[in-house]
Amino acid sequence: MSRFWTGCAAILALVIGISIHGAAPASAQGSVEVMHWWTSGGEAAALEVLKDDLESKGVTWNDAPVAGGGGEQAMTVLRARVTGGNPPTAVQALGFSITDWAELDVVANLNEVADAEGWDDVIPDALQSFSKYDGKWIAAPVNVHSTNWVWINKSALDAAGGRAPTTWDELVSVLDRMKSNGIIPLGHGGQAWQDATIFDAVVLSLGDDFYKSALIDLDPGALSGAKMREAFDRMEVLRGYVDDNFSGRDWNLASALVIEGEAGMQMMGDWAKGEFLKAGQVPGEDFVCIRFPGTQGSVTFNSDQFVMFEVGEESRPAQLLMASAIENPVFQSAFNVVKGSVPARTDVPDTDFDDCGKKGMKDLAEANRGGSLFGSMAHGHAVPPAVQGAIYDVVTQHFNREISSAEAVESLASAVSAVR
Amino acid sequence: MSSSSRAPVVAPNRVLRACLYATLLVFAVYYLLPLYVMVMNSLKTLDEIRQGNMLAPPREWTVKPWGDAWSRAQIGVEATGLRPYFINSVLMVVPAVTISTVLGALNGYVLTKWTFRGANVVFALILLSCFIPFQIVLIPSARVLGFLGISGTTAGLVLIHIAYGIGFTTLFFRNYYASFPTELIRAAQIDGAGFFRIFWSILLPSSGPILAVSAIWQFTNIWNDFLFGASFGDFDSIPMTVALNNLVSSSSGVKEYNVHFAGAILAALPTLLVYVLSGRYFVRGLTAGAVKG
Amino acid sequence: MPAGGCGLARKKLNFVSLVKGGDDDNNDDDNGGAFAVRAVFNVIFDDNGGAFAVRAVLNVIFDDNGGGFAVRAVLNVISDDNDGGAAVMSTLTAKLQDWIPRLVLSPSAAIIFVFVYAFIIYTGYLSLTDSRLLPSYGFVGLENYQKLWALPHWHRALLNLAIFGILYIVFCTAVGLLLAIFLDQRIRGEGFLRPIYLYPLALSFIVTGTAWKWFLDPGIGLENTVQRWGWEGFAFDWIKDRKLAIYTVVMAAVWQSSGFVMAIFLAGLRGVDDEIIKAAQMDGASGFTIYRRIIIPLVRPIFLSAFVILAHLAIKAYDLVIALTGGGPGQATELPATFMYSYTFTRSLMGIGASSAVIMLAMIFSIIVPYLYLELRQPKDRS
Repeated sequence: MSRFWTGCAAILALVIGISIHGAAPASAQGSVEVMHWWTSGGEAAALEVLKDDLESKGVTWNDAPVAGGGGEQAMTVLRARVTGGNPPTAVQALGFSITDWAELDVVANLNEVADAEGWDDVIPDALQSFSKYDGKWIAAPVNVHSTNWVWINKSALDAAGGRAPTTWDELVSVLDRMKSNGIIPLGHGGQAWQDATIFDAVVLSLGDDFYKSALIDLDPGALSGAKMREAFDRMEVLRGYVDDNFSGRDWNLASALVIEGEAGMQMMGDWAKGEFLKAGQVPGEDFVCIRFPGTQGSVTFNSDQFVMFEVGEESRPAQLLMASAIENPVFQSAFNVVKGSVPARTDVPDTDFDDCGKKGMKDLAEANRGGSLFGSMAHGHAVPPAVQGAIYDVVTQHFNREISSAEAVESLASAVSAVR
Repeated sequence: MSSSSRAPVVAPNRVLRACLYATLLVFAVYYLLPLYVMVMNSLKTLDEIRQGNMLAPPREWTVKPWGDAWSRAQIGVEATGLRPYFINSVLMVVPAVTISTVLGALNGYVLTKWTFRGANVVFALILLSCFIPFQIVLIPSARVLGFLGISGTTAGLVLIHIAYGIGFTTLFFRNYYASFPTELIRAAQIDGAGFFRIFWSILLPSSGPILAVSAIWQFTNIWNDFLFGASFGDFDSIPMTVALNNLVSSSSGVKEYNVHFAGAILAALPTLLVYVLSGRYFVRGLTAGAVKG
Repeated sequence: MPAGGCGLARKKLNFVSLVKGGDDDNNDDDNGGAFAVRAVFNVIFDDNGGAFAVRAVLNVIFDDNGGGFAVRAVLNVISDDNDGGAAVMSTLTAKLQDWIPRLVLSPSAAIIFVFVYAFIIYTGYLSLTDSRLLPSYGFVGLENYQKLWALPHWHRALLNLAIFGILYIVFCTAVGLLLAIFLDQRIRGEGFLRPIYLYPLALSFIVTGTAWKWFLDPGIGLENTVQRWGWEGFAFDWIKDRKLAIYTVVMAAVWQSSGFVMAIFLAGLRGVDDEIIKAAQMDGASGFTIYRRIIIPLVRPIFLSAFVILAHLAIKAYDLVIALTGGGPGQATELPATFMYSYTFTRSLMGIGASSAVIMLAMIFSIIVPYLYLELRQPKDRS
């Protein structure tokens, strides 16, 4: 037996030795490999603008899309590829996952481009806290999504009094009227991240400071206090306006309910607007966009960024060209008009945007100035993934009525501290 | 399957036999239902799907979703359809199935006809590899592939599929060869035939059924794999399942269910064909000893 | 390295004589074996001119010109002693015949050793570290296990696995056995029905998941369809109900695997000796009794095989849940495999993920190892 295993070891040594011998770096000059999960029609078309731009500059675009779970699948794949020493040139990434990679020292330094183009002055500080690490630019932000929006079907709103709610009580009374009008008041999909998106807005509606101390600073007092109890109570109220068939529904199907008038409103990030526009609806005429009641003036955001990985000298010129092309104001405008988000630069003209887009840009600039621009917990821009997952667990259990509000408040702080 | 000609053991009572056929048909419906739903809805227009009945056949038949899925649907930035990824899958599946089957056959041969002390332990250790959950091995596999310089290549995917396929193929061939008369082997040895000669001209010619089982099993498993394909495939080696996933689980936009279903059937077509065309051999191979009874 | 002294012509000649079934080397076991081996190597690996068979083979296989060290390593393993020289050759050729089986087995064993056992050990080690996004090696002892067992989420996953596993195994076995027995009654159209029962195994859940999700969705699926047929009160909304959703996962899982169980039972039934059945029929036993008292006890080992296959599939179940429910509603259908994936890859808590993986592995091995022990301690040559 021992000789047998020695034999195995020898063969293995051979195989490994020879494979290393035979391996050759095969990255072509002037190409970028881009990993992303924008595979649906509109987004992919928007990304193609970037691709064409780069190809006109002689850079080959190798597409490596990995769809699924809003990037979850892509992040798993990225881990395997970085571990295997074969990272893509640029990877679509969100919030804390960018910081996580930066900490591992596997990302590229973009300062050369960023300094020359003055990124520091035109990109909001809240975004920079993710796209810069240790004073170095490591990622090129593509857009800013804000997540505290409510999308209301105009005729359903007219039938319910016609006035868009600005406070919690007004919201409840509109929802009540929609209910008595025989439609689903709140179109919602029961997936953890969608539940958490509403939770973000509800917490924010209880005050900027409360949002910051509870969901960004993770202050145990705020997590287990009376205001948190109120937040969960409000979630319970909202759950009462959701149809029983909501579990597992994709967000865009919930949007479709609102578009077709079967549901009154949806609380969702600005990517939902794309669904309304694609259905031929006009902002202000067919649907209304408002901030979640009680959060006007504040914005919770998430930002898609292309984080650049260290891929060696020969790919570097192409990588820098790509970073520069992403921050090109023309691309920023063209992409975000399609995507429903707003540009990551504050100096892009809003001429091509629709009314909701213009409002989004105005709100963002205002929140940025006023210090009320916060990363979204639901979308990985407030807390690291482990904590985010722990909060998801509690929020989604509560929203599915597995635990009461009192139990939710009780377990929130302990769930968070268990994974910190 | 010669024994299938024996007399039925349950008496040929008419009522009883009617019940029997009815039960078998009810189960056939249960098994076919998802496929039926997929096929029917892949032949409808999107409008009809939205307002229509899931189980109803199309009012207005269309094959456009199939064409879209194959060559026009948006998979990434480019609207290439599934076509280019089909080739990647074939390039990965053919060597992986061939090599793992050959290794399994040789292992089975050694473990039954050339046993040495501890052979059973080696077999047990190989067999245990069938039972490992793949999520566990993702990160270490990535590290090994990176170390070997083949991460992101078809060769890397082939190696991974061989590694996690050997257990099954070895099991199949070992159990099959175990019932092969050892006297024949000894006689050939006395006649001076060596290890490979005996394998090639005595065992292999009678291995048809088990080769079919092994090849079918490996083919379906590797063709259907998603996790490894997504994690270890590069932009130029992404297999079809990953492309299909990109098609059906794109994060936003109108869900073109008819195109999704057409794409799903296209991705499944090779394995379906293999089963329908050679499913007979699969059961025959199992009968012949792949599973001990 | 000593020259083997076996030219191409000689080897070819020997091979030809072997093919003809020649026995000219029969008296000389040493030479006969050695030549046969070399000749076969030549044929298999298309070596044309290497003076030294083993070396040539290695060169061909690995396409490596500087393989001197490796060859020596293998040779040292092959030959018992290390004292090179021409004298080794005769023993070497004899030993080679002995060692071929082990050599043939060794690539597989080496691959399995790395890709299974080394990785398991590695995972075990990771479970004792502070790994988060990627592996890191700060040792934290059993802390991850303590955290894991403190998570209600994990208990939920284990409870679900118990429910899912038991129902899945029982229903798959029952359906599989039933269909196998029925199909064994000289059914007309068996060749048509069998692939229908088997085909779900051929499809990945990436493919069928969407269809199942539709089918189970009350808004567009079965509930809606039956209501359209006029049975207004019909309700089938299990997938949306956190108490019942796990049973829909069982339905889809049974759909996927029961055909395979049917196939192995059918294989077993067909293997039962006709004489026994005929004798029982002669004694006037009813069909039911024959199955209950004679055939089913005879195929008992298949129950064990089926149990092992199904049990490990249950513990590994992942695609199914992701495609159908994504673990929801809430955490109602979370299983250990989805838990492990989510903690390792989504939540960047690789340490806790690894500790849950170790527990999954322990569960799997505690089922498989006793089974293998039972199987393998029997005499292996049953012909």
